[in-house]
Amino acid sequence: MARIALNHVTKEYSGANIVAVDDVSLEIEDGEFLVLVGPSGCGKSTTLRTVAGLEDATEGDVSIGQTRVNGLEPRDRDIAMVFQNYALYPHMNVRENIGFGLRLATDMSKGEIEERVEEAAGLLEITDLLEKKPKALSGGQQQRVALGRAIVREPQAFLFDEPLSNLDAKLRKQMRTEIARIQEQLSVTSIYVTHDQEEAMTMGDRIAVMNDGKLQQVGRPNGVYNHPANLFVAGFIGSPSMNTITAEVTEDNGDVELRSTEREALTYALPAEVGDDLDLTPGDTVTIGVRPEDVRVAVSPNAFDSQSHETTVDVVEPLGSDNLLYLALGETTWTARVPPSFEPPTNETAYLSFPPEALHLFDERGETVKSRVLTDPSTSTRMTAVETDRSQSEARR
Amino acid sequence: MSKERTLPKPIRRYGPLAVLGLFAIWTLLPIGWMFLSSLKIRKSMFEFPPTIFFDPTLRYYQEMFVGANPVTPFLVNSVVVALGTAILSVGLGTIGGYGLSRLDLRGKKHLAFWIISTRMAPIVVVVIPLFYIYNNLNLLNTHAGLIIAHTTFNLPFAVWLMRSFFDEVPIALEEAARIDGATKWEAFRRVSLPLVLPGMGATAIIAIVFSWNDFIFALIFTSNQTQTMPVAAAQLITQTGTLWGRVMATGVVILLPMVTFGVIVKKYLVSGLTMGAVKQ
Repeated sequence: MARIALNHVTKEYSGANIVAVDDVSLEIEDGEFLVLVGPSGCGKSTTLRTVAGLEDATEGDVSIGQTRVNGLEPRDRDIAMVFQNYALYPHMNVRENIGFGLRLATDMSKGEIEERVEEAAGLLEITDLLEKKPKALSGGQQQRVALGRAIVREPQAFLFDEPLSNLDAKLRKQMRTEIARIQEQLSVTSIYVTHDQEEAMTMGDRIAVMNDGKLQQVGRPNGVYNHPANLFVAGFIGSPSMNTITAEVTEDNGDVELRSTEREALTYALPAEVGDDLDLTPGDTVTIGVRPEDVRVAVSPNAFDSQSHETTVDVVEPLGSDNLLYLALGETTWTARVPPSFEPPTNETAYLSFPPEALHLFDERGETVKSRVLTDPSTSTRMTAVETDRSQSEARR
Repeated sequence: MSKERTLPKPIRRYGPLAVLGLFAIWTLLPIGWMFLSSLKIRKSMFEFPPTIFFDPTLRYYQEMFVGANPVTPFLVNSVVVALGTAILSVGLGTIGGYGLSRLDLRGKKHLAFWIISTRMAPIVVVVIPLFYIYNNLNLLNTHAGLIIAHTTFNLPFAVWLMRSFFDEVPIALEEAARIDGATKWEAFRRVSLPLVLPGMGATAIIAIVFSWNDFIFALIFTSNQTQTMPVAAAQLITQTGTLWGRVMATGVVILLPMVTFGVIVKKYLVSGLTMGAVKQ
């Protein structure tokens, strides 16, 4: 087991003039499960491959445990990797696939290897597949074998490169729990790359969001969700995405108001206790962000004690547990997650509202000015002040 | 929905059979004729219409193997040269093809085309300069000389073929092996190489067939001790007449190993040449 550290790692493809990874610094604690998440082409896989030794960092250091591993061959890094397409050796059966690394790189006896392979197969419940060739296995089974090949070597770290993206939705969820269970059981330091924000949220001890080769934010899943560091993270984490609209800061009789730049879609008066804490000057352009679950909708304007805004219900999308409402707000469309019993008529006027606690604000550069203050609607207990403060300041940084 | 025009049913059913039947006759008739003639005495060889039922004789075969000028040394030459060519072509073709497949090289496609284009020159164009070079290097009348000549013509194709086989092996497999503890060489040797074995087989077969059937190189570069079977057969056409029986029997002996070989490796060859034609 080991700590993995990336120190100002940059990976540049000089031929193509592409900076795939741009000055990324990241530490993964011993036994931690870190998820690297971002859209395709954001550099997350390249980052993982520099840790694996399949790519060399152009600048910066990668260390595993106490060793600086730059320039070391993958075989000398004591890591295991699970690939998106599983990369099982087609000419070997499952037993040989799992035992390949042990046969090749250790001086273990045949019996010892056999024992380890059986043990790994038992953990993954694939003992009855040991004599089969990969071609005869289903996607999920192949994935288990690939996992087996990783855990059997008891490496210092697991690297996962989108291991679940080739599986169907149901199996993906099942394997998600499985991988998390095994990682916890073995407590091996793990880096897990995915483009699926839901996977990131559910699996990671911490998640690291990347975009355009740059690290955007690192934090605990809920911290990143509730206090995104910038507009990109806010939009990327969470499904459906956070609702946004650009607005101008105006002042009216000392009260701060946010007026949407586009038509008269929305005007939001910031209560003094919220507005005073924020560094907003009239004339600033900001982006308003609200999570779909924080948007409240009613058919009558008097349903809210706070301010409400006129909208039109475009589509009602029933999810079973919730209904998703698509609401027209000027030219933009907002989404609201409402209880399944609430089904307003479409193409008719409705009213939406959101409390100031739920409001996110981003400045012109997309950096967070204000993030959500977390309240649990069911119990109305607030996060402890300390915790909120800490994550808020983390988010603002 | 577009309305498809179809041919009448009997044509759809029997048309392909008729075409294939004609093709079979076209291909097999000369071979059958050669085979039958090799068993006939000279007089009945030229009868028209040819007889199909007759008293067969093995005397030409007997002459060929135990007569005054046995064909056995030429057969050995052919085998040696064909195997030598196959080993060299497959060996170098595998290494070259692997490099071409895996190397991240600018202008890789141009390089690959340049390699295959060398195969497009007619053999006769290179025979004279090659003769001159061989003469200076003392390679005339040697097995090695003929093997090298055949290999130069087979190698571009072998490289090209092996490259496409390696292209079908996902690079992630080698990466997985390297992470599992293999060196680059071990990843190649223990993962990629076993996966292209059918390809190597197919390449070897193509090299063997080329070498076995080659006439021009063998005619120009060899003399009595190193002659291969096709040249030996041609020498039966002499100034005083053609030994038709021996020609036919030699033809059968040249053909037979290739046919047997072909039948044995048919499955292998087809799977090799179509590997990766369909995405799995």
